[in-house]
Amino acid sequence: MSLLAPLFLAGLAAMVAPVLWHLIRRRPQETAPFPTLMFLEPTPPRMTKRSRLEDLLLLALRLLMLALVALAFARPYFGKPTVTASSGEETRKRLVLVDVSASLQRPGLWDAALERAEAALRELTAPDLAEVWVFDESMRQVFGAESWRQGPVAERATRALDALRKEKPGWKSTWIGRALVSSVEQLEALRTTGGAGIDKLEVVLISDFQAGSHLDGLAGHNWPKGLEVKLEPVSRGALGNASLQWIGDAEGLSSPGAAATGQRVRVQNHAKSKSQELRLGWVKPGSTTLVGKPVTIQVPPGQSRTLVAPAKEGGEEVEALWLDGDETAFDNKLYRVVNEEESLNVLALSDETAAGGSSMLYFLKRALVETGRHKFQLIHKRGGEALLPGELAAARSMVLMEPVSEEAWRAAGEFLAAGKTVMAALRGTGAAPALAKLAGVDQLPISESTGGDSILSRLDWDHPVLAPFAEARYGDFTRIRFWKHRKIDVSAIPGARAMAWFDQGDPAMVEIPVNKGRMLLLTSGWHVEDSQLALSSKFVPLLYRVLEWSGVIVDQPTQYRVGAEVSIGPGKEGETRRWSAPGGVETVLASEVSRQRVDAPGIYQLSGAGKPRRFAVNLAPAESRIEPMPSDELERLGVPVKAVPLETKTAEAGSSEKRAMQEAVAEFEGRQKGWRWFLAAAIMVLVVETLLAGWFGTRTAVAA
Amino acid sequence: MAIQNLEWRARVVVEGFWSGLHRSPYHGFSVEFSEYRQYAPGDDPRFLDWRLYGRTDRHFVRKFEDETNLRCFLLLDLSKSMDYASRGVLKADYARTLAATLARFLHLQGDAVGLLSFDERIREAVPARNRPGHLRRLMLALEKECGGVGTDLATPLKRLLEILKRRSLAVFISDFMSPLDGFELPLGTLRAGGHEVVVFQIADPMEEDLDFGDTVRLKDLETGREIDLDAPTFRERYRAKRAAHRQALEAICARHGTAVRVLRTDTPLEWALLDFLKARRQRGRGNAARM
Repeated sequence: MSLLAPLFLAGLAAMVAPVLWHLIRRRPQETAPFPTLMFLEPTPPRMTKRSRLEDLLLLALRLLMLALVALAFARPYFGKPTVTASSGEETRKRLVLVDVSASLQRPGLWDAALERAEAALRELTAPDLAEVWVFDESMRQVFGAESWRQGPVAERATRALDALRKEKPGWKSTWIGRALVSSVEQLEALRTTGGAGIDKLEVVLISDFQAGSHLDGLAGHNWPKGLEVKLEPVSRGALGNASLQWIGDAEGLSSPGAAATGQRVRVQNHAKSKSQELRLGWVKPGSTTLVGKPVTIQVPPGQSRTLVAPAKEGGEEVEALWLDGDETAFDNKLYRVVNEEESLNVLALSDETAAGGSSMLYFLKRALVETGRHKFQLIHKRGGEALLPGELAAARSMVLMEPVSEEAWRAAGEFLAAGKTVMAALRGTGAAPALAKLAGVDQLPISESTGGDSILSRLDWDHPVLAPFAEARYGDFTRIRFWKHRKIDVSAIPGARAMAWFDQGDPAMVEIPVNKGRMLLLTSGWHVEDSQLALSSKFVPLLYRVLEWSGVIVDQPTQYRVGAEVSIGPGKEGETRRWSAPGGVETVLASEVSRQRVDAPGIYQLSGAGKPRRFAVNLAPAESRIEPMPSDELERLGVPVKAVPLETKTAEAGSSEKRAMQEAVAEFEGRQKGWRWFLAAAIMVLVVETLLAGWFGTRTAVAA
Repeated sequence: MAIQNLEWRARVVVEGFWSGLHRSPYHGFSVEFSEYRQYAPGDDPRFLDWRLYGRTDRHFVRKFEDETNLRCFLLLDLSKSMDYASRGVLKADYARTLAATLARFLHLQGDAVGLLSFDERIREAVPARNRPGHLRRLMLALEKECGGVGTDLATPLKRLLEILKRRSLAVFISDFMSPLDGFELPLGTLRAGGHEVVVFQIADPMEEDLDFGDTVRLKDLETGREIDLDAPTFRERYRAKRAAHRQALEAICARHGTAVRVLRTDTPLEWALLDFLKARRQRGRGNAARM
């Protein structure tokens, strides 16, 4: 018999207690009254032969019980375990996964993470295999298994650590879920390529395990057998934090005049914060001194406040808000870029004489309202009015509403030739010759429909104009009644593509390519004589979608999160585009680059042929939640977490062989569970002892 | 001791041996003619013997030995040591019953009965009377609890010497669980004064035999002192010491013309009393009927 925890045999010392007790027990326990002690004097207790025998039996039983309990605690096992860790075979595949997300920017955390990584690497032995990866939103390898295998045994850990020391925490958010899943895949790959030894897969996850970590993908994941995930939390210093966030700006939209009045921000103070008086103001780049008139706000821990950011003062270089007074500073800066409104000229050509609801122009004017980003200039020209020089070139879009003059059709032709988009709505059949000419066909018969009321029964959701309406809750166009429409033979126009049809089968919307441009032809007007289109909820979205499709409105968000890809569109020929990152790093972009990833918070600038575009990049809000997640969160999601912290293990373990032996013994003992039998035997002895003691007690009482 | 009420208990015992004696309690008086004495001025003319005057023409006064019935004092030890019973009957209860029985018996005979209960001092003193209701008063005094922190055997005898004016009977009931120093002198004085003394020693079987099976811790009922005792070892020495103590008591009593009667609480009281009365009757002088 061997013992797993022989230290518990010290409990055998408790066996002295019953012996002492038996000695003390010789003194009488109960006091009997007696009339007088005048004839008596104290006599020392004397042991009779009989009582000695009885007590010795009980004493032996009590000693046996204690010995059995002590042995049970010492975790006995029988036989000898077979140690699987024989030298020369790869036994452990360990992937050290180090968090480099923004929250690790806090002072001391990265050093702590390096220490943990060192401990995890140094305890590996020659046959073991290790890889070092870092992760934030994605994973990347720092030191591969191949390098580990090829390096001298003594220097492997040092080399891996040197590679890791070159890394620094970035500004991205923490995606533990993705990283764990990917790292397990990596380990699986190592297992298949490794030797024939029994593999033990380990992921040592070194992170601050902040509450803002993303754990997507962990629940329900099928973890391979033999995998152990060891968690190495690095958490130091203050856990209180307050975070700052723009409101209503996630899409880059802002209300008109937001630049002048200031933007609303949300200040959230986390539950573990100690301070609740915070100051908010603007700072210059590279400085944390508030300029202008900062505001002081009271935010109790665990609560949030929404307020209008103080007005920007101190000149152009001031570009970030700073939250002063909380315990953790890495997330206190909030960058802001407000783009100026863009003025867009829309040319409306129509000879309409009707007013109010009978006029298509009437609805068009009301649909094109000013947003914070765009300001539409609707230029209306009647047939007789001549276009001023440059007006056609300056216009970004053209809308033709019948009746229009020949002149207008010609202008549309020019507009289309410039590669722009024209939207035309038919009111009668008179436009047939002009349309045929524009489409480049000899004849294009247009006739008034006689079928009476109709609805849009079929729409081509694949068409870019209609694609946003494809979802069922937006795609119901059947409530819009069309009183009149015109029949047009789409097949007669080369390249034309119908995208919506009436229930009689006549096309309602047709895209006709003309030269470089495109024309969207509506066979029914949106004024009340023709249809309910302008009165429906679909009109304005449809109009804006057409403007987007024609490239007039370009969605250009100015606010991004770290790690996002900024869409900048492909460059034009001959144009030199420069990309300026916050650190002053400037790169020239190739013309085919249409997306640029932003890895750090700050103001980015894209300068090229046109006006420079600026982007503000801020930290993901989740990264500010630095309080630790519940300790059993990963276990709850089914991750095979090993409970024993690495530190304890390294502290007590000596050489690797000894450690392997210890592990094998622990497993062996765990299978046998011999301690249970010892404990059961102790209970049996206790029962026998109790019965015997009771019996002796009654016998003595009867004898007395 | 199935009957809780002391008076009833006494009555039962008395009736029991009354029928055994077949003697009327109303037979005979304690008024005894003693002598004639020549009349002297100042003598009560009631006691002039007129017949003798007629015969002798001289004035003589009849003198009686005693003008009243017998006076009896019960000296009852109610110290804490009496508050002990190894099985069933407390020594104190046994002694109370004995005292009550005697009191009733004497009262029925028309004798005056008094009581002195004591521990290390006099606790209760009831003068000797034979009035109706006096027995009730005696019973109440007898029912007092045991107390005190010791026993002084001399004190009641000394008190008795102070209050006794005529020849009386003293019944001393105690366990004599205290040193006998100072007991002999007042006893001798009492006897010399012509008073009769009867001594009862009440004993519990356990204190007679010290029959503890094993080591035992004993607590003195009076002083509260505790000792550990290995009873089997010490038993013989104890018995010897106790026997010596009793012998000393008997020797003292014998020197002054009285005897010690030992009553064990495991023997019925009637038997013990009957035994005692028979013995007294045989002692002669014809007053066995009285006691």
